Amino acid sequence: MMEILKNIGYAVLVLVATPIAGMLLTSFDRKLSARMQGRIGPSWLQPYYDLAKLFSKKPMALHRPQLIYATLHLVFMMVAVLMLAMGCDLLMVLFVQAFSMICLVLGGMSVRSPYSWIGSQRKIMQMLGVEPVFLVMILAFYLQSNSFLGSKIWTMGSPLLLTMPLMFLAFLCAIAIELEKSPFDLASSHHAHQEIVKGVTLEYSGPFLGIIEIAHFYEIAFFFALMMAFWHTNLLIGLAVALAGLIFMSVLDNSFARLTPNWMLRFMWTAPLSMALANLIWIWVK
Amino acid sequence: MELIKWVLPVLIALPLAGGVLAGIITNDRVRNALVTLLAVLIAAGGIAVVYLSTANAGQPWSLTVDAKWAHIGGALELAIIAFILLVALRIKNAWIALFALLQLIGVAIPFIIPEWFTGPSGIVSHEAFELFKIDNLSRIMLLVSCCVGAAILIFSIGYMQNHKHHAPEGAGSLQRFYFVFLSFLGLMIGLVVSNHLSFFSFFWEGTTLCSYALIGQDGGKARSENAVRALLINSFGGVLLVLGVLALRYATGHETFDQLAMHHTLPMVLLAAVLLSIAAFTKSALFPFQSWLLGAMVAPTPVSAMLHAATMVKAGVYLVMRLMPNFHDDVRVTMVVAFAGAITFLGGALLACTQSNGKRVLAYSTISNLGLVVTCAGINSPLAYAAGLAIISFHAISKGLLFLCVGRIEQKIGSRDIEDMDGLMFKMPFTSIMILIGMMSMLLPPFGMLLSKWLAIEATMRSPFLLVFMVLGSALTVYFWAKWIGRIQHTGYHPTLPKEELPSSMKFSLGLLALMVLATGVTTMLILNKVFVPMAESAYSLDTGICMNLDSLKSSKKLLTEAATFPALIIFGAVAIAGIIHYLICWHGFKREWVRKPFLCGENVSSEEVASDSEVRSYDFHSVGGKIEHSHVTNYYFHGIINEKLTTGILNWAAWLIILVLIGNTLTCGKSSGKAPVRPACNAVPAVKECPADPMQCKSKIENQQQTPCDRQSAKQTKPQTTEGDQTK
Repeated sequence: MMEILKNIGYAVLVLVATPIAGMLLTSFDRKLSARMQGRIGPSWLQPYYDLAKLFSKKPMALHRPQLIYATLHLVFMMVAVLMLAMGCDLLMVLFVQAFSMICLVLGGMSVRSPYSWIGSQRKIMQMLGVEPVFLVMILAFYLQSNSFLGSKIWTMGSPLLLTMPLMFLAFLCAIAIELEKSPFDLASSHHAHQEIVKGVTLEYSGPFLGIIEIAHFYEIAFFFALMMAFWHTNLLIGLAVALAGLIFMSVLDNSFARLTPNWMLRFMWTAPLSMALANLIWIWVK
Repeated sequence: MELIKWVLPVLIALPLAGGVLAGIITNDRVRNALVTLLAVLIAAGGIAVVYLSTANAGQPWSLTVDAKWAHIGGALELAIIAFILLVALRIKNAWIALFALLQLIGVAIPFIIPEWFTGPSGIVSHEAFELFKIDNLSRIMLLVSCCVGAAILIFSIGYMQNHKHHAPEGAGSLQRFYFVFLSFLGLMIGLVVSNHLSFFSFFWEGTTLCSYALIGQDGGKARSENAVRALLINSFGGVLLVLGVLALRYATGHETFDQLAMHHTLPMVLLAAVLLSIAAFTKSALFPFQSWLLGAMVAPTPVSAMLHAATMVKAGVYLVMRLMPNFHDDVRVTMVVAFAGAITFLGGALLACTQSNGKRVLAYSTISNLGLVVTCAGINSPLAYAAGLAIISFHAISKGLLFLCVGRIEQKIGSRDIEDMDGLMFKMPFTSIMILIGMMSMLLPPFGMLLSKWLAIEATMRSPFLLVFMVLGSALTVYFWAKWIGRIQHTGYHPTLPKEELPSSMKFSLGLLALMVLATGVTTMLILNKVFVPMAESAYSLDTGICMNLDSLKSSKKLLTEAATFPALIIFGAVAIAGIIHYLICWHGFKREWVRKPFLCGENVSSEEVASDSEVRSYDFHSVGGKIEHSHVTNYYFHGIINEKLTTGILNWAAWLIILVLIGNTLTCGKSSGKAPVRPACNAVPAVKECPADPMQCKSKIENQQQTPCDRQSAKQTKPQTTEGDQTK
């Protein structure tokens, strides 16, 4: 009985703490970006204020199925985070996360808006680009720890980054796509440098957009945790590695304009994927 | 006592006899009643056979008959090949005639010169043999063929009634259709339980012939061309099958799967297995033989569903799954088989992304999944084998449902193009929900297809080079399903769903298949752990009596136990809780005044304008000067980037190369004879430990293992028959 209560307590803690961490990471990112552009940037609590404002708005929607997909997007993202925190099978965590993204895409495709539709098409193109890299990365984890369980990573002696430097770079590219950083922010860009702004989520507003924002906080924290896993032996260094990754993406975000979806796909299936594979083969041979 | 001895032959004969009867009956109502009855009986019979055959603690059940039955099998095989030859002469196709002639010669040689085919013993064998054998793989195949096949049969009643009214000129009659359709199912049931290769070949050629007849059902030039192509490619496979059986007979003097498993160390037997596998590639439409399955789409939809889900293509992967575990020491050969599957997995998924024709997407997706099964068989580890079994079964249910839905949609909207299925959700809500269930089951965790793909990827860790194919293929799979789902539920606001009218037989079978998808989806993890995994373990350690490479068995087991910790419950719990909250707030509490029109870069058209002008759609808008503009965006199909013809050409070329490598590898494997000392590293002790209650069986297996192929000669006559069929006699 105590065991079950403890587990439930842990799950609740993870589910509450993760979006808060995601929120802080978002404001860190926004502050950093602002400094690079010579601005001061918003306050640390700005993502929270934005969210609160979204939830205070009058609900508006195009139809019912659209809302189902927003909920599913959030739920599956939460499940993915929870499974990662529980040290479940990493491949399955990845599939759950991917399905969460598919729900977002389907939500965008369910409405009769051409802009939302184009955004969704681009979003699945993006998924096509990043999924192979994620899969290869998890297989590399397997080769190192001889298990697909996330919890087994902790039992390994040396930091993963030392054996998987190329994999980390490829992973950074993939995260840049998942977190919509330019030049990869094809599907739901925040800024007007893309042809389509907020493509997938264009027809969501008010509290329903809020749901997607919360899912986004989970997602940022999810990838941040995965980046930290590259230096699991020391949490502080892990934090530094992950922050460095975030800073790298911020630099990327501020120094590139845009790409076409095809270019993005070609890039992902050539440079990062071959880097990841090269790293995998190296681990295999070793 | 032995009820199954009677039930099984009846189960095979029932569809065949029923087919003849349905072919005679001219009254539609009587025939429909007969077909319904047969469907129920087939499903019940299939389940009964599976249940009865497991009576002895899940051990294989077999039926032993005396030697004269081999001649009957040979005669049946000769007869059906002669029939194919006649067909070839009638349609004046020289190639098919040539292939049929070659097969005839191949089958006839052992009759004419029996002394060539004595095997190591030197005498023509007149032993009793096991005609039918039902092991775990056969059980799975029986369940798939009988249950999914029955659902398709029931669907076909409503579909064909409708089809009759707008069938093209020169289409075959309903009698002809049901005669062939039912026989098809009967032959498939016979195929999966046959242990003797003459009978197996008879059923194999029979399904080839049936698919030829069914593809050409509606008449016309294009259809008969596609039918001929199917016959041609499968006849080519038939030649390979006959060659493989010849090689097996030459090497062992017998032609049963048992003997093949027993003599798996002989190079000639390996060659036989490889020839049989390539024959299976043609049947399963792997690259480079995929064109016949794509052409088969011209047939009425129940035929496509039958070909893809319950029969035909499943026969090929069944054969590969049956053969491969015997050869898990010949990694050089089985890995090439895995590559042949992997290139099909990737190629099928890639080409499915470029298609807007719904049926072609389904066809490519089937091809891709069959490739995955072959890959799993080729990887040859218990984990991969379990994944293969799982894909065969889950794929059959989901694909059966999807095909039937597309058939229904095509009848209703007159198109099978995905872009035309726009907003189907509010035109045909029932069918749309069914097809959404089918498609979601292909990519939603924890449904069967995704979980088995997950197992397959974990099993692929044995070879990192296969991984590239697997990883890219599984990413592409998600892509084309998501596009299609999006198109179907792309709609505007409708306050309520309309009611959809459809024949009760269609409604019943769609509902039944959807229920099966949902039920297997909810219990996937349980099915994997309790059914497929033990089956896979027994296929590798006990049934074949082969001592498994211990390391890989251990690592597979470890992966399996770790996989079992997967918290399906968490996903279901979370989705259920979220579902309730969502229902209360967003669905039940949904208010009409929340509804807005989409943003379209101009004023949306009003509902009056839509009502007054049939050209105007609700998603159009006013642009400059009040002009009404369409705002329609299609899916992305990689036009101008991936050319289907060119890509197919490249993939075919690569696949042929792989097949050449496969044959070359097999031949050199035999020559280099690194196999002569049989598995020196093999440690037989664990196999004894894991043996079931029958110590005799175990002992004879161990004896077999310790002998070199030459020693077998003497052992063969003395070897006790240890299967159940004998014990009960």
